Amino acid sequence: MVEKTFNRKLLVLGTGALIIGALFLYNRPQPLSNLKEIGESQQQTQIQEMKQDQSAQPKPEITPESHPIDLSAASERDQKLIQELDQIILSKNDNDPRIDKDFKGMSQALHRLLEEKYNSYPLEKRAERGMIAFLLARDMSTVQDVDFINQVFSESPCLSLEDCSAPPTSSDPHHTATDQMSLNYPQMAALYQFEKKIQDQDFLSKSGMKDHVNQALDQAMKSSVPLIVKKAEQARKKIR
Amino acid sequence: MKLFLSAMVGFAMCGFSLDVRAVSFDSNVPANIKQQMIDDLAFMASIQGGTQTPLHQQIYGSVSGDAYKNFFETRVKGVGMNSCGGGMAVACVIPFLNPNKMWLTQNFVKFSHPQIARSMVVYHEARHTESRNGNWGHDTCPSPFLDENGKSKKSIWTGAELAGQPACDSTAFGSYGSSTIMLKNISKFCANCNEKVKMDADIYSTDQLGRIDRDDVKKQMLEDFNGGKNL
Repeated sequence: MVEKTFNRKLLVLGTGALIIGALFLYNRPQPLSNLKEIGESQQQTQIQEMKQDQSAQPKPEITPESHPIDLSAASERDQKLIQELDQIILSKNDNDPRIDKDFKGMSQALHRLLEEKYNSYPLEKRAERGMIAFLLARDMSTVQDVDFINQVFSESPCLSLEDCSAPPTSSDPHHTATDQMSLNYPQMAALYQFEKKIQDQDFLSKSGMKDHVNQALDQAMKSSVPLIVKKAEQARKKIR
Repeated sequence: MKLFLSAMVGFAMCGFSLDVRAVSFDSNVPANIKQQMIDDLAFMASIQGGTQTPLHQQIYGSVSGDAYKNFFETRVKGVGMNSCGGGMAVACVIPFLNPNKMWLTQNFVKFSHPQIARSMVVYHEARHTESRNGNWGHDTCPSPFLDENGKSKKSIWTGAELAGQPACDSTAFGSYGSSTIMLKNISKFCANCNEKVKMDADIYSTDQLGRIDRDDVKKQMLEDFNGGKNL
Protein backbone atom coordinates (compact mmCIF):
# COMPACT_ATOMS: atom_id res chain seq x y z
CA MET A 1 0.00 0.00 0.00
CA VAL A 2 2.74 2.40 1.08
CA GLU A 3 4.76 1.32 -1.91
CA LYS A 4 1.72 1.81 -4.20
CA THR A 5 1.10 5.32 -2.78
CA PHE A 6 4.78 6.12 -3.11
CA ASN A 7 4.79 4.89 -6.72
CA ARG A 8 1.67 6.95 -7.49
CA LYS A 9 3.28 10.10 -6.01
CA LEU A 10 6.42 9.37 -7.95
CA LEU A 11 4.38 8.99 -11.15
CA VAL A 12 2.55 12.29 -10.54
CA LEU A 13 5.78 14.09 -9.70
CA GLY A 14 7.54 12.57 -12.68
CA THR A 15 4.73 13.53 -15.06
CA GLY A 16 4.71 17.06 -13.65
CA ALA A 17 8.45 17.34 -14.08
CA LEU A 18 8.18 16.09 -17.64
CA ILE A 19 5.49 18.67 -18.49
CA ILE A 20 7.49 21.49 -16.94
CA GLY A 21 10.61 20.29 -18.73
CA ALA A 22 8.76 20.08 -22.04
CA LEU A 23 7.32 23.56 -21.59
CA PHE A 24 10.73 24.93 -20.73
CA LEU A 25 12.31 23.33 -23.78
CA TYR A 26 9.50 24.47 -26.03
CA ASN A 27 9.56 28.09 -24.93
CA ARG A 28 13.34 28.46 -24.91
CA PRO A 29 14.35 31.02 -27.55
CA GLN A 30 15.51 29.08 -30.60
CA PRO A 31 18.00 30.54 -33.03
CA LEU A 32 16.74 30.57 -36.59
CA SER A 33 19.14 28.96 -38.99
CA ASN A 34 18.06 31.29 -41.76
CA LEU A 35 18.44 34.37 -39.63
CA LYS A 36 20.83 36.63 -41.42
CA GLU A 37 20.12 39.77 -39.44
CA ILE A 38 22.34 38.92 -36.53
CA GLY A 39 24.73 35.99 -36.67
CA GLU A 40 24.44 33.10 -34.25
CA SER A 41 27.83 33.89 -32.80
CA GLN A 42 26.43 37.21 -31.65
CA GLN A 43 23.36 35.77 -30.00
CA GLN A 44 24.82 35.50 -26.51
CA THR A 45 26.26 38.98 -26.77
CA GLN A 46 22.89 40.23 -27.89
CA ILE A 47 21.16 38.71 -24.88
CA GLN A 48 23.73 40.26 -22.57
CA GLU A 49 23.40 43.60 -24.31
CA MET A 50 19.65 43.38 -24.06
CA LYS A 51 19.92 42.71 -20.34
CA GLN A 52 22.26 45.66 -19.96
CA ASP A 53 19.95 47.85 -22.01
CA GLN A 54 16.98 46.86 -19.92
CA SER A 55 18.78 47.53 -16.67
CA ALA A 56 20.20 50.82 -17.84
CA GLN A 57 18.56 54.01 -16.72
CA PRO A 58 16.86 55.95 -19.50
CA LYS A 59 19.36 58.30 -21.05
CA PRO A 60 18.67 62.03 -20.87
CA GLU A 61 16.49 63.28 -23.65
CA ILE A 62 18.11 65.15 -26.47
CA THR A 63 16.73 68.64 -26.20
CA PRO A 64 15.65 70.11 -29.51
CA GLU A 65 17.44 73.19 -30.64
CA SER A 66 15.88 75.84 -32.81
CA HIS A 67 19.17 77.46 -33.86
CA PRO A 68 17.93 81.02 -33.71
CA ILE A 69 19.19 83.66 -36.11
CA ASP A 70 18.97 87.44 -35.86
CA LEU A 71 15.52 88.43 -37.07
CA SER A 72 15.61 92.05 -35.92
CA ALA A 73 15.77 93.41 -39.48
CA ALA A 74 13.30 90.93 -40.90
CA SER A 75 9.76 91.82 -41.91
CA GLU A 76 6.93 90.64 -39.72
CA ARG A 77 5.92 88.08 -42.33
CA ASP A 78 9.44 86.68 -42.70
CA GLN A 79 9.80 86.48 -38.92
CA LYS A 80 6.56 84.54 -38.76
CA LEU A 81 7.71 82.16 -41.48
CA ILE A 82 11.05 81.51 -39.79
CA GLN A 83 9.20 80.72 -36.57
CA GLU A 84 6.90 78.45 -38.51
CA LEU A 85 9.87 76.64 -40.02
CA ASP A 86 11.35 76.20 -36.54
CA GLN A 87 8.11 74.54 -35.43
CA ILE A 88 8.08 72.24 -38.44
CA ILE A 89 11.71 71.22 -38.03
CA LEU A 90 11.32 70.60 -34.29
CA SER A 91 8.19 68.53 -34.84
CA LYS A 92 10.07 66.26 -37.30
CA ASN A 93 6.77 65.99 -39.14
CA ASP A 94 8.02 66.24 -42.70
CA ASN A 95 4.51 66.02 -44.08
CA ASP A 96 3.44 69.34 -42.64
CA PRO A 97 1.22 70.93 -45.34
CA ARG A 98 2.67 74.36 -44.56
CA ILE A 99 5.88 73.28 -46.31
CA ASP A 100 4.03 73.55 -49.63
CA LYS A 101 1.56 76.24 -48.65
CA ASP A 102 3.82 78.87 -47.08
CA PHE A 103 7.32 78.31 -48.47
CA LYS A 104 6.87 78.95 -52.16
CA GLY A 105 7.41 82.33 -53.81
CA MET A 106 9.36 83.56 -50.81
CA SER A 107 11.02 86.97 -50.72
CA GLN A 108 14.73 87.27 -51.44
CA ALA A 109 15.14 88.59 -47.90
CA LEU A 110 13.65 85.38 -46.58
CA HIS A 111 15.97 83.37 -48.81
CA ARG A 112 18.94 85.11 -47.19
CA LEU A 113 17.54 84.38 -43.73
CA LEU A 114 17.06 80.74 -44.65
CA GLU A 115 20.64 80.57 -45.93
CA GLU A 116 21.77 81.93 -42.58
CA LYS A 117 19.55 79.41 -40.86
CA TYR A 118 21.03 76.59 -42.94
CA ASN A 119 24.53 77.59 -41.90
CA SER A 120 23.49 77.86 -38.23
CA TYR A 121 22.84 74.14 -38.00
CA PRO A 122 25.76 71.84 -37.20
CA LEU A 123 26.84 69.73 -40.16
CA GLU A 124 25.49 66.60 -38.49
CA LYS A 125 21.93 67.95 -38.66
CA ARG A 126 21.48 66.39 -42.08
CA ALA A 127 17.68 66.33 -42.10
CA GLU A 128 17.41 69.93 -40.90
CA ARG A 129 19.95 71.25 -43.40
CA GLY A 130 18.34 69.12 -46.08
CA MET A 131 14.92 70.59 -45.34
CA ILE A 132 16.26 74.13 -45.81
CA ALA A 133 18.27 73.18 -48.92
CA PHE A 134 15.09 71.66 -50.35
CA LEU A 135 13.06 74.83 -49.67
CA LEU A 136 15.71 77.11 -51.14
CA ALA A 137 16.40 74.99 -54.23
CA ARG A 138 12.71 74.61 -54.96
CA ASP A 139 12.22 78.37 -54.72
CA MET A 140 15.31 79.53 -56.65
CA SER A 141 14.66 82.64 -58.74
CA THR A 142 17.93 84.61 -58.85
CA VAL A 143 21.59 83.88 -59.54
CA GLN A 144 22.22 84.58 -55.88
CA ASP A 145 19.88 81.71 -55.01
CA VAL A 146 21.75 79.43 -57.40
CA ASP A 147 25.08 80.48 -55.92
CA PHE A 148 23.92 79.42 -52.47
CA ILE A 149 23.03 75.98 -53.80
CA ASN A 150 26.49 75.93 -55.38
CA GLN A 151 27.83 76.47 -51.85
CA VAL A 152 25.77 73.50 -50.62
CA PHE A 153 27.30 71.36 -53.37
CA SER A 154 30.79 72.52 -52.43
CA GLU A 155 30.56 71.34 -48.81
CA SER A 156 33.01 68.69 -47.74
CA PRO A 157 31.27 65.32 -47.55
CA CYS A 158 29.85 64.42 -44.17
CA LEU A 159 31.72 61.31 -43.11
CA SER A 160 29.50 60.08 -40.31
CA LEU A 161 26.09 60.88 -38.87
CA GLU A 162 27.79 61.08 -35.49
CA ASP A 163 30.59 63.40 -36.54
CA CYS A 164 30.85 64.75 -40.07
CA SER A 165 34.59 65.27 -39.71
CA ALA A 166 35.48 61.66 -38.95
CA PRO A 167 34.58 58.41 -40.67
CA PRO A 168 32.45 56.00 -38.62
CA THR A 169 34.37 53.51 -36.56
CA SER A 170 31.96 50.78 -37.61
CA SER A 171 29.07 50.39 -39.99
CA ASP A 172 26.00 48.21 -40.20
CA PRO A 173 25.85 46.83 -43.77
CA HIS A 174 22.14 46.20 -43.27
CA HIS A 175 21.17 49.87 -43.45
CA THR A 176 24.25 51.57 -44.87
CA ALA A 177 22.29 52.67 -47.93
CA THR A 178 19.94 54.68 -45.70
CA ASP A 179 22.83 56.11 -43.71
CA GLN A 180 24.73 57.09 -46.82
CA MET A 181 21.69 58.77 -48.34
CA SER A 182 21.14 60.74 -45.12
CA LEU A 183 24.81 61.75 -45.06
CA ASN A 184 24.33 63.32 -48.49
CA TYR A 185 20.75 64.41 -47.96
CA PRO A 186 21.21 68.23 -48.19
CA GLN A 187 23.04 67.86 -51.50
CA MET A 188 20.64 65.24 -52.86
CA ALA A 189 17.54 67.24 -51.86
CA ALA A 190 19.01 70.36 -53.49
CA LEU A 191 19.99 68.45 -56.65
CA TYR A 192 16.56 66.85 -56.91
CA GLN A 193 14.92 70.28 -56.91
CA PHE A 194 17.70 71.74 -59.05
CA GLU A 195 16.99 69.14 -61.73
CA LYS A 196 13.33 70.16 -61.79
CA LYS A 197 14.02 73.88 -61.76
CA ILE A 198 16.47 73.91 -64.64
CA GLN A 199 13.82 72.48 -66.93
CA ASP A 200 11.88 75.71 -66.49
CA GLN A 201 12.81 77.84 -69.51
CA ASP A 202 11.63 81.08 -67.87
CA PHE A 203 14.02 80.46 -65.01
CA LEU A 204 16.91 79.40 -67.19
CA SER A 205 16.57 82.31 -69.61
CA LYS A 206 17.14 84.94 -66.91
CA SER A 207 20.28 86.99 -67.42
CA GLY A 208 23.41 85.01 -66.51
CA MET A 209 21.36 82.18 -65.06
CA LYS A 210 22.61 79.43 -67.35
CA ASP A 211 26.22 80.19 -66.43
CA HIS A 212 25.50 80.07 -62.72
CA VAL A 213 23.50 76.86 -63.11
CA ASN A 214 26.39 75.26 -65.00
CA GLN A 215 28.87 76.42 -62.37
CA ALA A 216 26.73 74.86 -59.66
CA LEU A 217 26.47 71.60 -61.57
CA ASP A 218 30.24 71.65 -62.21
CA GLN A 219 30.67 71.99 -58.47
CA ALA A 220 28.35 69.05 -57.77
CA MET A 221 30.19 66.93 -60.32
CA LYS A 222 33.47 67.57 -58.50
CA SER A 223 32.06 65.82 -55.43
CA SER A 224 33.87 62.78 -54.11
CA VAL A 225 30.49 61.15 -53.53
CA PRO A 226 29.43 59.04 -56.56
CA LEU A 227 25.77 59.44 -55.60
CA ILE A 228 25.99 63.23 -56.00
CA VAL A 229 28.00 63.07 -59.21
CA LYS A 230 25.48 60.67 -60.74
CA LYS A 231 22.54 62.90 -59.84
CA ALA A 232 24.37 65.99 -61.15
CA GLU A 233 25.06 64.25 -64.45
CA GLN A 234 21.40 63.33 -64.66
CA ALA A 235 20.41 66.95 -63.98
CA ARG A 236 22.83 68.33 -66.57
CA LYS A 237 21.11 66.31 -69.29
CA LYS A 238 17.89 68.18 -68.53
CA ILE A 239 19.31 71.60 -69.54
CA ARG A 240 18.06 72.62 -72.96
CA MET B 1 3.30 15.81 -25.47
CA LYS B 2 5.34 18.07 -27.71
CA LEU B 3 2.75 17.63 -30.46
CA PHE B 4 0.05 18.66 -28.00
CA LEU B 5 2.00 21.69 -26.89
CA SER B 6 2.70 22.63 -30.49
CA ALA B 7 -0.97 22.39 -31.29
CA MET B 8 -1.86 24.52 -28.26
CA VAL B 9 0.74 27.13 -29.07
CA GLY B 10 -0.21 27.02 -32.74
CA PHE B 11 -3.81 27.66 -31.81
CA ALA B 12 -2.79 30.53 -29.56
CA MET B 13 -0.57 32.05 -32.27
CA CYS B 14 -3.38 31.80 -34.78
CA GLY B 15 -5.69 33.75 -32.50
CA PHE B 16 -2.91 36.19 -31.67
CA SER B 17 -2.17 37.06 -35.29
CA LEU B 18 -5.79 38.02 -35.85
CA ASP B 19 -5.81 40.29 -32.84
CA VAL B 20 -4.82 43.71 -34.14
CA ARG B 21 -3.69 45.57 -31.06
CA ALA B 22 -1.76 48.70 -30.38
CA VAL B 23 1.97 48.25 -30.09
CA SER B 24 3.26 48.15 -26.53
CA PHE B 25 6.50 49.83 -25.54
CA ASP B 26 8.85 48.51 -22.87
CA SER B 27 9.09 50.80 -19.88
CA ASN B 28 12.77 51.49 -20.60
CA VAL B 29 12.08 53.01 -24.01
CA PRO B 30 12.98 56.69 -23.51
CA ALA B 31 10.06 59.07 -23.89
CA ASN B 32 11.57 60.91 -26.86
CA ILE B 33 12.20 57.69 -28.78
CA LYS B 34 8.70 56.41 -28.01
CA GLN B 35 7.17 59.68 -29.10
CA GLN B 36 9.18 59.75 -32.32
CA MET B 37 8.10 56.22 -33.15
CA ILE B 38 4.44 57.04 -32.41
CA ASP B 39 4.66 60.20 -34.53
CA ASP B 40 6.25 58.33 -37.44
CA LEU B 41 3.63 55.57 -37.28
CA ALA B 42 0.91 58.23 -37.13
CA PHE B 43 2.39 59.80 -40.25
CA MET B 44 2.27 56.45 -42.04
CA ALA B 45 -1.28 55.88 -40.82
CA SER B 46 -2.35 59.24 -42.22
CA ILE B 47 -1.33 58.50 -45.81
CA GLN B 48 -4.08 58.61 -48.42
CA GLY B 49 -3.71 57.24 -51.90
CA GLY B 50 -6.18 55.25 -53.94
CA THR B 51 -3.88 53.92 -56.62
CA GLN B 52 -1.02 51.50 -56.27
CA THR B 53 1.22 49.21 -58.25
CA PRO B 54 0.48 45.46 -58.42
CA LEU B 55 3.44 44.54 -56.19
CA HIS B 56 2.30 47.05 -53.59
CA GLN B 57 -1.20 45.59 -53.77
CA GLN B 58 0.23 42.12 -53.11
CA ILE B 59 2.31 43.16 -50.11
CA TYR B 60 0.38 45.96 -48.43
CA GLY B 61 -2.89 46.41 -50.28
CA SER B 62 -3.70 49.96 -51.25
CA VAL B 63 -1.56 53.05 -50.67
CA SER B 64 -3.38 54.06 -47.52
CA GLY B 65 -2.75 54.74 -43.89
CA ASP B 66 -5.11 51.93 -42.89
CA ALA B 67 -3.12 49.41 -44.92
CA TYR B 68 0.22 50.57 -43.48
CA LYS B 69 -1.17 50.60 -39.93
CA ASN B 70 -2.56 47.12 -40.36
CA PHE B 71 0.70 45.86 -41.87
CA PHE B 72 2.68 47.14 -38.91
CA GLU B 73 0.31 46.21 -36.11
CA THR B 74 -0.21 42.66 -37.31
CA ARG B 75 3.53 42.08 -37.24
CA VAL B 76 4.97 44.15 -34.43
CA LYS B 77 3.45 43.74 -30.99
CA GLY B 78 6.14 45.30 -28.87
CA VAL B 79 9.01 47.75 -29.00
CA GLY B 80 12.09 47.65 -26.79
CA MET B 81 15.60 49.02 -26.62
CA ASN B 82 18.67 47.16 -27.80
CA SER B 83 22.03 48.00 -29.32
CA CYS B 84 21.13 45.94 -32.43
CA GLY B 85 24.72 44.92 -32.88
CA GLY B 86 26.07 48.39 -32.19
CA GLY B 87 27.53 50.85 -34.67
CA MET B 88 25.12 52.94 -36.68
CA ALA B 89 22.12 50.59 -36.31
CA VAL B 90 18.77 52.32 -35.81
CA ALA B 91 16.41 49.36 -35.37
CA CYS B 92 16.36 45.58 -35.64
CA VAL B 93 14.31 42.44 -35.15
CA ILE B 94 15.85 39.50 -33.29
CA PRO B 95 13.47 36.60 -33.97
CA PHE B 96 15.10 34.18 -31.53
CA LEU B 97 14.40 36.63 -28.70
CA ASN B 98 10.90 37.54 -29.84
CA PRO B 99 9.70 37.33 -33.43
CA ASN B 100 7.10 40.07 -32.97
CA LYS B 101 9.24 42.62 -31.25
CA MET B 102 11.12 45.50 -32.77
CA TRP B 103 14.18 46.85 -31.07
CA LEU B 104 15.21 50.46 -31.42
CA THR B 105 18.55 52.02 -30.61
CA GLN B 106 19.37 55.47 -29.32
CA ASN B 107 20.32 56.30 -32.93
CA PHE B 108 16.61 56.39 -33.79
CA VAL B 109 16.50 59.95 -32.48
CA LYS B 110 20.20 60.73 -32.17
CA PHE B 111 20.94 60.67 -35.89
CA SER B 112 19.32 63.14 -38.19
CA HIS B 113 17.30 61.28 -40.82
CA PRO B 114 14.23 62.56 -42.68
CA GLN B 115 10.94 61.05 -41.50
CA ILE B 116 10.65 58.87 -44.62
CA ALA B 117 14.03 57.29 -43.90
CA ARG B 118 13.05 56.43 -40.32
CA SER B 119 9.73 55.04 -41.51
CA MET B 120 11.43 52.96 -44.18
CA VAL B 121 13.76 51.36 -41.63
CA VAL B 122 10.84 50.57 -39.32
CA TYR B 123 8.79 48.94 -42.10
CA HIS B 124 11.85 47.10 -43.36
CA GLU B 125 12.28 45.64 -39.89
CA ALA B 126 8.56 44.88 -39.56
CA ARG B 127 8.90 42.62 -42.60
CA HIS B 128 11.62 40.70 -40.74
CA THR B 129 9.11 39.63 -38.09
CA GLU B 130 7.46 37.21 -40.51
CA SER B 131 8.59 33.88 -39.08
CA ARG B 132 6.33 32.02 -41.51
CA ASN B 133 8.49 33.42 -44.31
CA GLY B 134 11.80 32.64 -42.65
CA ASN B 135 11.88 36.26 -41.49
CA TRP B 136 12.75 37.17 -45.06
CA GLY B 137 16.39 36.53 -44.29
CA HIS B 138 18.62 38.55 -46.56
CA ASP B 139 20.51 37.19 -49.48
CA THR B 140 24.27 37.29 -49.41
CA CYS B 141 25.36 40.03 -51.81
CA PRO B 142 27.19 38.46 -54.75
CA SER B 143 30.91 38.65 -55.02
CA PRO B 144 31.85 40.80 -56.81
CA PHE B 145 28.85 43.10 -56.24
CA LEU B 146 29.22 45.80 -58.86
CA ASP B 147 27.35 49.03 -59.50
CA GLU B 148 26.26 50.21 -62.94
CA ASN B 149 29.75 51.65 -63.51
CA GLY B 150 31.34 48.29 -62.86
CA LYS B 151 32.75 49.39 -59.51
CA SER B 152 32.47 47.34 -56.35
CA LYS B 153 29.56 48.50 -54.19
CA LYS B 154 30.83 49.51 -50.81
CA SER B 155 30.37 51.85 -47.91
CA ILE B 156 31.59 55.22 -49.16
CA TRP B 157 33.57 56.07 -46.08
CA THR B 158 34.53 52.88 -44.30
CA GLY B 159 35.29 51.20 -47.63
CA ALA B 160 33.58 48.06 -46.31
CA GLU B 161 32.43 46.09 -49.34
CA LEU B 162 28.89 44.81 -49.57
CA ALA B 163 30.01 41.73 -51.51
CA GLY B 164 29.58 38.66 -49.33
CA GLN B 165 27.51 40.55 -46.73
CA PRO B 166 23.96 39.48 -45.86
CA ALA B 167 22.70 42.86 -47.06
CA CYS B 168 20.88 42.09 -50.31
CA ASP B 169 17.55 40.65 -51.43
CA SER B 170 16.99 38.32 -54.35
CA THR B 171 13.22 38.84 -54.24
CA ALA B 172 10.91 41.83 -54.49
CA PHE B 173 9.08 40.62 -51.39
CA GLY B 174 11.90 40.74 -48.84
CA SER B 175 12.63 43.62 -46.50
CA TYR B 176 14.62 45.69 -49.00
CA GLY B 177 12.22 44.95 -51.83
CA SER B 178 9.03 45.58 -49.88
CA SER B 179 10.25 48.84 -48.36
CA THR B 180 11.42 50.02 -51.79
CA ILE B 181 7.97 49.22 -53.22
CA MET B 182 6.25 51.03 -50.37
CA LEU B 183 8.32 54.19 -50.77
CA LYS B 184 8.08 54.24 -54.54
CA ASN B 185 4.29 53.99 -54.27
CA ILE B 186 4.17 56.77 -51.68
CA SER B 187 6.28 58.89 -53.99
CA LYS B 188 4.00 58.25 -56.95
CA PHE B 189 0.54 57.96 -55.46
CA CYS B 190 0.31 59.59 -52.03
CA ALA B 191 -2.47 62.14 -52.36
CA ASN B 192 -1.90 63.99 -49.11
CA CYS B 193 1.89 64.02 -49.00
CA ASN B 194 3.70 67.27 -49.56
CA GLU B 195 6.43 67.67 -52.19
CA LYS B 196 9.21 67.02 -49.71
CA VAL B 197 7.82 63.70 -48.52
CA LYS B 198 7.28 62.57 -52.11
CA MET B 199 10.82 63.61 -53.00
CA ASP B 200 12.26 61.85 -49.96
CA ALA B 201 10.31 58.68 -50.75
CA ASP B 202 11.68 58.72 -54.29
CA ILE B 203 15.27 59.44 -53.21
CA TYR B 204 15.41 56.71 -50.57
CA SER B 205 13.53 54.10 -52.62
CA THR B 206 15.72 54.56 -55.67
CA ASP B 207 18.79 54.02 -53.56
CA GLN B 208 17.31 51.03 -51.75
CA LEU B 209 16.63 49.33 -55.09
CA GLY B 210 20.39 48.88 -55.36
CA ARG B 211 20.18 46.14 -52.74
CA ILE B 212 18.25 43.87 -55.12
CA ASP B 213 20.94 41.62 -56.50
CA ARG B 214 19.02 39.90 -59.30
CA ASP B 215 18.60 41.78 -62.55
CA ASP B 216 15.33 40.03 -63.42
CA VAL B 217 13.82 40.99 -60.04
CA LYS B 218 15.01 44.56 -60.37
CA LYS B 219 13.48 44.68 -63.85
CA GLN B 220 10.21 43.28 -62.48
CA MET B 221 10.17 46.02 -59.85
CA LEU B 222 10.95 48.80 -62.31
CA GLU B 223 8.18 47.58 -64.60
CA ASP B 224 5.85 47.49 -61.62
CA PHE B 225 6.70 51.10 -60.73
CA ASN B 226 6.14 52.29 -64.26
CA GLY B 227 2.94 50.38 -64.87
CA GLY B 228 0.98 51.28 -61.73
CA LYS B 229 -2.70 51.51 -62.39
CA ASN B 230 -6.00 51.62 -60.59
CA LEU B 231 -6.75 48.21 -59.21
